[in-house]
Amino acid sequence: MSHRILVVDDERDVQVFLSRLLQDNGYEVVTADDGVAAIKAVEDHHPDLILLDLQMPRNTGTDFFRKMRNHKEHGTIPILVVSALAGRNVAVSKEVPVLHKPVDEEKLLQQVKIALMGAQE
Amino acid sequence: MSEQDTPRAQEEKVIRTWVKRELFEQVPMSICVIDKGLRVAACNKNFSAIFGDPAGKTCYQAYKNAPTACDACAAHRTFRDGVSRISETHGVDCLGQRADYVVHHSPIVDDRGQIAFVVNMSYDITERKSVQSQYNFLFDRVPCSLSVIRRDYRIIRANEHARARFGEVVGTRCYQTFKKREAACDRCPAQKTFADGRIHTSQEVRWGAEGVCSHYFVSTAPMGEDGQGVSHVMEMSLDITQIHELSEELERQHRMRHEITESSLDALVAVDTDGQVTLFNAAAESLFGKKRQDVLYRKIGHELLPLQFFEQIRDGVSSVLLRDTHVDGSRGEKIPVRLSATVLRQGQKVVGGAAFLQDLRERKELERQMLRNERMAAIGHTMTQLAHSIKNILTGIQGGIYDVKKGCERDDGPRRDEGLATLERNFARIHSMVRDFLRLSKDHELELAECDANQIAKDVVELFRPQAQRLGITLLFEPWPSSLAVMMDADAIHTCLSNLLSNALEACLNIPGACQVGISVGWSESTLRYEVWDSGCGMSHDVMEKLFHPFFTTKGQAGTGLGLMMSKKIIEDHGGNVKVISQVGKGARFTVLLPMQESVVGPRVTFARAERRIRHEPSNPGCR
Repeated sequence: MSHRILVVDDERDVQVFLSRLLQDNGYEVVTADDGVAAIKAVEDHHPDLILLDLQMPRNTGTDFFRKMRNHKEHGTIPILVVSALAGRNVAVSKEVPVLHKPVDEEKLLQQVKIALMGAQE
Repeated sequence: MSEQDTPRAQEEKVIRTWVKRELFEQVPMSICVIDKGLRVAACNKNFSAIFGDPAGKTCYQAYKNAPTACDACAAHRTFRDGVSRISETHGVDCLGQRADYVVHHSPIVDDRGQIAFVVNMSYDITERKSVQSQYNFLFDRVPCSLSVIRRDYRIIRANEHARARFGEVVGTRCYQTFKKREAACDRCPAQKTFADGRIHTSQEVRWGAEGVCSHYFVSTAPMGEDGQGVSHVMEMSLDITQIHELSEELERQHRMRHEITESSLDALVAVDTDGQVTLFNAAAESLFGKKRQDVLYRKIGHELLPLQFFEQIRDGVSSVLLRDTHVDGSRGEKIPVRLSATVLRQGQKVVGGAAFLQDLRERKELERQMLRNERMAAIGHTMTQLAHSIKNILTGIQGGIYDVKKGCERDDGPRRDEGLATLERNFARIHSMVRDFLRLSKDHELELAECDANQIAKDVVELFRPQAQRLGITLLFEPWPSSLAVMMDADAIHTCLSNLLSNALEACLNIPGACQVGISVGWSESTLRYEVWDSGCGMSHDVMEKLFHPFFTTKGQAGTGLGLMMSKKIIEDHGGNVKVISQVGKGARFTVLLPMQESVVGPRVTFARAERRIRHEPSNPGCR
């Protein structure tokens, strides 16, 4: 059974790109345009991993991250930040890996694999 | 005695003859001689001049016009005991006027040693008694404390006022009563007057009868002398407690005013109408770099304070405020100050002015620094946001390339086309971002030309009508009923209205039920008004605050986040402003106000402030 990954990004083209990249590598993908939709998607689809953009119009990635970590059922889902922001603006948490846009495809797939393996352990 | 008297005997003879014949008449007294039956036996001219001819009258008839002898008749007593006596009595003259007299009664003893007559000598003391009573009245009633002090400092007389203040003081020593002391005071005014016979004054603190301490002004004057010098001193003391308290209060207030003036951070300079400096505090010394001794009471106010200050003082403007003016420093440098001043008056007359000067150098420097910091922060923020937008676009391009590559690898035509479309879209995004940036740049200038305000709005409406129809949104347009020919940058205003209308349509997406958006054109009070409204999702307070910030967008990749900021700049470049009202769930209304130079008369109207943003072309009068 393939892993399900939630891609959260308000940029439609980025959302499509990340989804296709992941689908082409055998992952099942669900998407959300902002933090509010993402919470609903987590509850509806129980993803194994979340790729999270930080700067979004409704409920930023940081807000979503905080809510997820306090979430009773899904608080342990691993999160990877994929952001166009730089420097301290992306420091959500020490444990969360950050990938910068435009993304290094190989590195992204590798981080996804590591995160999913960590979650299985 | 021989025929030839000695010279000495002759002199005595002359004197005896004069005493016998003349003294009786010439002495300035009324004299009468009374026999044992109290009949007037003889009198001098003075007596008859005052009391009339006494022939056949008794002394009481002549002297007092009385029918019977007096009760305690002094003449009678002298007849009896042969003792001379002096008494005070009254008499009534021939005109019936009553007067006071001092009367001497002396016996005349005959050769047999019998008292044959009594001589009655009287002089008028009416005037003296009247003065005495006036003196007594004054002494008692004068509204200050008077006391007469003997050389041993014992008070022998005190007036009503002194008794009321200090109690029964007569008989006590002044220092005990007034000062609660056991010994005389050092160098008190009474002591000085006793010593030199002059008038002395001083201020003393004294205890009243009720144990209350008061301040007195004390003056002492000599009253009488004996062989040893001044025997009595009249002391006058006036309660000046109230004056003293007032003077202390005045002194306190003066000190306080001085401290306030001196500790004020604002420089304080007061001048009279001639420009003479009457006040120059410590802060003024430091502002002007001048010592007050070089400035005070010199007519150099005009060198220190701005001309405008003196003009307003001259015109009697009661308070002056010059927010942004300057004064000259000691090295001739211009010091920026905020000057507030008040006119000084005496009654109705303007006598000068006082100026408070706040040194604005530090504030100006802080403002400059703050502006620099703000600018740097804004640049930093803009760069971050710009990098963010570009990275997102790059990721979009990355996605496009990925799809093209995969489409080619897999011979998947649709996916390859999709990838190309993504590339085109992101190319267009970069293009419009660069365009918006250029428009936002400082050097971008308006291209003013005569245009129809209604037509611009109509063009925008027509541009968006297909999109509105597709989305099922009703698009309304309300032009101004008559033509509004104005000078403005039609292209820029078109962009601005397009941005607003595009946002309005965007706000209606995903809203259940029918939505409406509209543009109206209005005119009032020389101001052109565009209103763009929608019945869409509305905005929270948070969103409204960030609305005109760069890169703020609620549209995801559909917007550059520069549109509203650019629209605002276009409006402001035209000298106008934009306002927005909105509530979540209740739509929004943007109002663009563009003030005109003159009211609409015919077709031509120009903008009031737009000209400062355009390059002046003398050959093109339409641009003015």
